[in-house]
Amino acid sequence: MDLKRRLSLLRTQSGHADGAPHASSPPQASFKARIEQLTRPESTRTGRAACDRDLELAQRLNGRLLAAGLIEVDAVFPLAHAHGHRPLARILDAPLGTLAAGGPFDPEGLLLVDTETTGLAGGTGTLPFLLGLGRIERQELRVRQLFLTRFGGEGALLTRALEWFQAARTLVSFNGKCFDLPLLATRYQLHRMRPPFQPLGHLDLLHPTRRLFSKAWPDCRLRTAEERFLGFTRTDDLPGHLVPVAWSAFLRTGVPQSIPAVLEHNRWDIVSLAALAAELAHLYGGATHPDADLVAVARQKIASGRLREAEEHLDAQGGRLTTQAWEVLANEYRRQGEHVQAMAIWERLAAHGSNAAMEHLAKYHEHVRKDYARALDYTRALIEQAPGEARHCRRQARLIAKGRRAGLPPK
Amino acid sequence: MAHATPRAFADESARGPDDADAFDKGQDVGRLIERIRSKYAQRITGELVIPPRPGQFARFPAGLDPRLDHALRARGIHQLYSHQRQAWDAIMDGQSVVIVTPTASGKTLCYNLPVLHQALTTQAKALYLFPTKALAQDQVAEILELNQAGSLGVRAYTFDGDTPGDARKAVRTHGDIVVTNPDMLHQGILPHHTKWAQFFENLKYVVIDEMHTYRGVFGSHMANVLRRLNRICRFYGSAPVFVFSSATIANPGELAHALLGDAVTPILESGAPQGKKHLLLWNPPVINADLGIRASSRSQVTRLARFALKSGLKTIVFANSRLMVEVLTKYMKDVFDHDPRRPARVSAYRGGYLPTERRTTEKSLREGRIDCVIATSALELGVDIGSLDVCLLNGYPGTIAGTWQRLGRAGRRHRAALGVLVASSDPLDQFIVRNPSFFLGASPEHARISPDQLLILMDHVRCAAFELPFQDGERFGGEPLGDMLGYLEEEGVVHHEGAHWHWMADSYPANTVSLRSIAEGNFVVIDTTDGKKEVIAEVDYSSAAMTIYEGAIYMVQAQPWQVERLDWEGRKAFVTRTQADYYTDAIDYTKLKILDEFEHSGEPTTSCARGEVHLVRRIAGYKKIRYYTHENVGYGQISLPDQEMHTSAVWWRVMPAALDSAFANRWSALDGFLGAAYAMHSVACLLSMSERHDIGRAVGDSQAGWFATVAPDGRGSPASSTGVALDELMQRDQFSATLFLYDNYPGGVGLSDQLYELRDEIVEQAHVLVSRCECREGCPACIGPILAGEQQRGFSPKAAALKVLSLLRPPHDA
Repeated sequence: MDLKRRLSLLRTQSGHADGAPHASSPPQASFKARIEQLTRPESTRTGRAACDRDLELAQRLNGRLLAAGLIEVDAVFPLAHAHGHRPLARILDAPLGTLAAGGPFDPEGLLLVDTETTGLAGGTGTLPFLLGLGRIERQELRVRQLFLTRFGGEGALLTRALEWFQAARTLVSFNGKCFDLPLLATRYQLHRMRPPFQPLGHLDLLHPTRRLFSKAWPDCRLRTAEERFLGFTRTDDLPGHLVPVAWSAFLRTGVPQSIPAVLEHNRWDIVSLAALAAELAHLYGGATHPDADLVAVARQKIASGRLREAEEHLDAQGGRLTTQAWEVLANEYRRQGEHVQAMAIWERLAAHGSNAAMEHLAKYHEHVRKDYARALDYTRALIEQAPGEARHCRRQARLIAKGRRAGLPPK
Repeated sequence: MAHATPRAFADESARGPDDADAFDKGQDVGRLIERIRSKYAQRITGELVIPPRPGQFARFPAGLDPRLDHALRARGIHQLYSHQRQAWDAIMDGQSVVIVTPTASGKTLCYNLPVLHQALTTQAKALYLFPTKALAQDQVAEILELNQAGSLGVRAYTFDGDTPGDARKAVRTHGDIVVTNPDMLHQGILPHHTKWAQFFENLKYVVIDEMHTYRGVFGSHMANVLRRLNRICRFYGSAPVFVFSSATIANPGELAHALLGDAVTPILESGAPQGKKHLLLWNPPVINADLGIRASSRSQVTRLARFALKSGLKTIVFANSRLMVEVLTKYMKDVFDHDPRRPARVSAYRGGYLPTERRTTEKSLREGRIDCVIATSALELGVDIGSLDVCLLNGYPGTIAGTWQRLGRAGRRHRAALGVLVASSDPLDQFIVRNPSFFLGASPEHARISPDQLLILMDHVRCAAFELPFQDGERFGGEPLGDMLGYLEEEGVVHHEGAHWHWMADSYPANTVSLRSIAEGNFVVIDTTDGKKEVIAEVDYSSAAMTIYEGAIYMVQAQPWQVERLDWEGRKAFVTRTQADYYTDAIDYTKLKILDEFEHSGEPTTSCARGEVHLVRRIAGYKKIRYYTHENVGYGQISLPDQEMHTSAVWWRVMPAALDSAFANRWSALDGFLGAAYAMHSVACLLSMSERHDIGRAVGDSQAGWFATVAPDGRGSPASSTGVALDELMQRDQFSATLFLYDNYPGGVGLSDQLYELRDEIVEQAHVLVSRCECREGCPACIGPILAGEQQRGFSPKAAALKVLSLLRPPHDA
């Protein structure tokens, strides 16, 4: 028995649901693949013919065959171009530095990155066969796509990409921290090249998107953000899960049927990254959106120590219900010894009837300012609100005593 | 105790004689032995005294890093044992080695020393592989202590499923010694090797401890994981030295060679001193001679433990299940810890306890504050617990290597010690205690692997293709790689381009390959008691049909569950908790057809052969067997699809004439074959270090014309597969009964080679097992359960089995 038959037999006997293909019983799943295998044009096998095929494809994609197995496609979008509701030019004045620490970020130093891969599994066996990059050059968004027509072009792809990576200062991606960039780093390693990302900052837009919209949206995929936030709807888009299928079919058959759609899919991803970065930054900088949870933004700013920014942000929300966020902010100010800022916030909150704020004020006036009279005022107001609260009563008694010792007239 | 040594390191290493009280303790153990010997002479079936042995020492090697020298001296180590020095010399010479020395002989220093030295002097990295997570953690603790003693600054980390995500990067980039397990290497490290680039570039040592656990299926997978590891190392330009260490087995060099696929230098002579050891084999008394039922091993163990504690001896008790640990602990605590105001003298130790709890017990043991610990195999290896005087084994641990490892926990250094192996009623246990020479002689256990088993190999070709593209002309294992890759290309998972085979599927193959089984179609066992939905176990595809049919009693940690529903397609079994006092045993009809005979030996009347067989197994029903008495208390039907399998087997055949002259009728001959098969199956497992389900047995004729099984009435009965009336079949001229032992994995994992080599010993030892059994007509400990009324029918299944075994015996022994 030959190896193939032995294997098939053993696999079936050992409980593999999908017995592998063998002559006597071809399973349904791979039948199509097998037909394609049989009918695959001989041209894909020989170097010369493959080169012709690639040239033809490059032409069809409006790109050029850069090296054996690598097609480069450049596209340009003027910044006046409206992607959804707004023009891309909004990125020029977007406060990108509000999105993450490490800013400010100069729009011209950004590098938008998105890959299309043979799968989502990760590890050394997953290949990014299309690398989409984008950057702002003067008044344009320039998109560069590096597409592999076979495995052999990868070295050229990685080398070619270096130029843009080295010129960039900050990467912009959607879930790139966990997926695209580790994958690219792996590919550089496999080709014994040093990954060029070390010195670069990274704005992963997935995180701010989640922070703002996870409460309002069913999911936080890029597609959802485009539709609900940017106002951009794709037509005839190739669904993401078909992308790996499209490439492997192309590889097996040599017929680039869905390849233009794959490139378009990736190109829109890049353009959306630019638009999304801009719009998110505007939200972080104080703009509003009905779905956006802006308090979460303030909290994040407080957590990362950017209190002034958080305050400006909360100010910009006007009459929205942000009491809790203000309290968090005031506490943070107090912790850092910035009493004036903290007081200002507490006084505003106390005016709106916040007991917690009044208690803070009472403590502040008692212990920091030693202004027992003001402290007593706040404490009495508190007792009115919550009669019988033991600690307020204790404070009242203590303040009266302290006041007496300080020679204040009893009230 | 005169010395409560802080850790294994100091304890296991060369020191001057330091046990001032060794003599006294020796007396105590001696007195205890005298006492039980005079009282229970009949229960002691074998006795062995291992004389004390002085240590063989060697100097520290010249050129040892001074910091390491200092650290060792700070830990009280001023010289090495001879085997530690021997290991150093070989390893520093660039040889891969396998170290086989007894428990507590300072094995870990054999590899820690060169590894630490090279980490200090050349920034070399090392990878340690332990079969379990717990062992890995102990190992790191030990290195860290030496590290601290000498302020060495060597960074040792564990890397396993419990390592938090943010710590992983630090381990990868800063770890000098990374301690992990084979599963993690297979699923977590190799498929992400680029993240470990720095580590692999500087990888100089791979340490594989507990090598004897890598046998059978697990070992065959392990050999392939090592093939992948070496392939990745070549990519990063490194060629590490491998250091294996193992408990005593018959073929350590051969196993290491098979695992590595390269030459390995064996180091077999221990230089560690050893106190006098006294070993007793103990068989509980028979309480029902008709059915061959004995008193429980548990009752015997508690009795012995009580004696030991009352004589002031520190005692460790090993049990084979967690439940048994708890039961024994309760019995012992009832006696010794009934006063809650006093500190506990008895403690349990098993997997499932929190690490802190276990550390506390270990510490109390080392400091001598606990007098008795009851443990599972979790305490068998590595973990330091100080010196103990008595070791009691409740039941045979399954392998002789494992038995010695457990016995090694008592009597470290110069102290005299007693070990007692108390047999249960299991056939293996009974065989061991009735054949002291077998156990007490040299280790007969051969650990075998079959790295080129086609399914296992294929799984790892897949994983390796994912890790790095294969190149034309590359080799991986013993089968033609090009054919295998061609097969994968047809499946659409790899793509051949230029001279390379690239992975192109959207999958992560390592996740679907379990190192502990062959098939990927594992079943999960789901507990649905009280509306729960909790996975409590996984069952291999190959053993599912025999263990989780509807109605089966399925045991998890000795707790019974009943299978309510089996979803064969969905690979799920739904179970509920039960209180059943019986267990279930599937009745399978196995039909074997010999496809090819590879080798053959024998006389005209009887012969033995090995070859490829085709097997069809139908599981028709099951028996309910009551605990302890082993009576059949009922039957159930099973309807499952037939299972087919190609595998390899060894078979014994008796020619019709010889059979007819030995037996009055063919029915009793058949009974004899079934009984003989039962006994040979037990012995074969023992000799080949296999689990019972690794090997199958069947009786039939060689052409699958008929095959026999134990019928519900307890008698052997042939079932015709060709439609020939049974009576007619039994009347035929050609009644050529054949007894098969087959490798119970699709394609085989190399067990049949081993069984064929052991063919004469299997028959011989099976004969010993049955003939020495004290039952009258047969019992579960020799030829399998029989019916109580058997002798009234004037027939002895035991005599029939012995007759068959005599026929099968090679002539020179007959």
